[in-house]
Amino acid sequence: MTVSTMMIRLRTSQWWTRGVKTGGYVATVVAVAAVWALVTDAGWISDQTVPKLPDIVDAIGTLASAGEVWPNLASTLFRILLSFAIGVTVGIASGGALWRFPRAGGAIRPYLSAIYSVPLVVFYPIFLVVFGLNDWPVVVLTAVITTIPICLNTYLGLQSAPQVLINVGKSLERTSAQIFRQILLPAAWPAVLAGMRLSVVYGVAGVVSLEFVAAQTGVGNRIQYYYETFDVPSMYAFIILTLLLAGGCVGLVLAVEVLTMRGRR
Amino acid sequence: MRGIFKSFRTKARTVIALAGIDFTAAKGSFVSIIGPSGCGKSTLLACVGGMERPTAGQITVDGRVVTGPSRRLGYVFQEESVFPWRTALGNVLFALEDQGGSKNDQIDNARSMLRLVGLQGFENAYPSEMSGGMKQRVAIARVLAAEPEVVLMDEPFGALDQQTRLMVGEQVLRIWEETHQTILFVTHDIQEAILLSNEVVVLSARPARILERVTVPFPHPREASLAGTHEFADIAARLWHTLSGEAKKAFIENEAGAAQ
Repeated sequence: MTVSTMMIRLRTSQWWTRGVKTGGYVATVVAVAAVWALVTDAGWISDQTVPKLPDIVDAIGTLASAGEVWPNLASTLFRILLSFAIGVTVGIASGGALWRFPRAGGAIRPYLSAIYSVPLVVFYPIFLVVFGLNDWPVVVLTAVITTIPICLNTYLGLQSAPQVLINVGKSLERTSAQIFRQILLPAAWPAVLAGMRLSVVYGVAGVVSLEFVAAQTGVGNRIQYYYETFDVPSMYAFIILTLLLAGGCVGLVLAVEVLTMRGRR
Repeated sequence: MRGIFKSFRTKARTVIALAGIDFTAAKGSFVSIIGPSGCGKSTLLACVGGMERPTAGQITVDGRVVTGPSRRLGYVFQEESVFPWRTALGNVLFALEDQGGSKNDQIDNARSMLRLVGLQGFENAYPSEMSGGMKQRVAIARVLAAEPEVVLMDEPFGALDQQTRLMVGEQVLRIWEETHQTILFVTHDIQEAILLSNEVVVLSARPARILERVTVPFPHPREASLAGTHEFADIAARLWHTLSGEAKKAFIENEAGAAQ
């Protein structure tokens, strides 16, 4: 077998594995939908608890033509992206600061980890009073939580950057700033990405759950509203839209990972 | 090198690593430094490379005193030192991209360095796709691209298996035969030292002093089969004789240290 036919075989087999994988993902969704249809059609569960799938699809259509889907999706997405963007920026900067000033960092880090365990909602009234009833209480509060995993992971990534790589920079006469940008940050990048993966999940959960408590728009607010008005299909419509939105946000981070980690590992 | 001393302070005592090393390597020569493990070979090289400061004494390379790391002191590290986020070409370019000149010239230069270490065709490979020997050759190409006055190699094949070690060793030999780049090479392998270098410097157990300097007379180009000749065996025996006494000393001292 020549090298080139081997390469082609390899490539086809890669496509094949990838196809099987994708098929598996689709099959999972189909299976869940099938079980859903079976259970609801058989009448084992009342329509008031779990509506039939076509009713939910109809509800999405009705809501879309009433102009309710896009504005709410957009405002939730805006809040998630904004708090995630703040989390990435502030997280990387503060993680760098923790690394640069290890003594002060050591005093702060345990508290950062502790904030994880406090439910966000308890701070909501304070933020509401400070910022008023608009996007900011939700965004700022969520940003606090999206920042922490990125901050801690950036710190750990910088901390574990191999000394020998830094020495390569020194021996090629790079300045400290160049070593940070060209060596330390890329070396810490896989850890930063791991933080971002956690962070985006916290971001989605934070924004949607805070929308339940007090917001005039957003998918969380809509789910809450249709729950209170007993419009179950519309409620499910927004639950499913929320799942898709969450999937999209996580997918965004994975895409960043695939693009920036090419060739590594 | 003139009168190099280096001491470390640990909590319990002051350890003298280097006790008055004094020697000069001729420009264009390939000098190996061997010694028992833990004797301070790597410390000595780190001082020459400006990575560490000698406690006393002065190191001069091409008439200029070494005060810190510098492009003119090329350093090939023992550990894996290629950047995993850069391709082979990108790694070599790291040595060139903050220098002047057009991007195209830099790329041409980096390509020729990769060719020199036998990695043509692997320009776009990432370290994750390379073997240990290939990564170390990329590191060597990166050092050579900076056009240093002296290349310092700190047990560069230490992490490689025996076969790869021989292959990369021959590659380094070819590079030296082609460029006559001044090389200081630290190793604990007697055969490797003789095969590669023009001169072998034997260090004592800690604190390290120079025990012996042996000139290796074999002409270039050399082949690995040289190791089978009588002359080679004679030199190896002589070095081993000098070294074995020291190695025992170092071993006993380490054991005593561990027992404390």
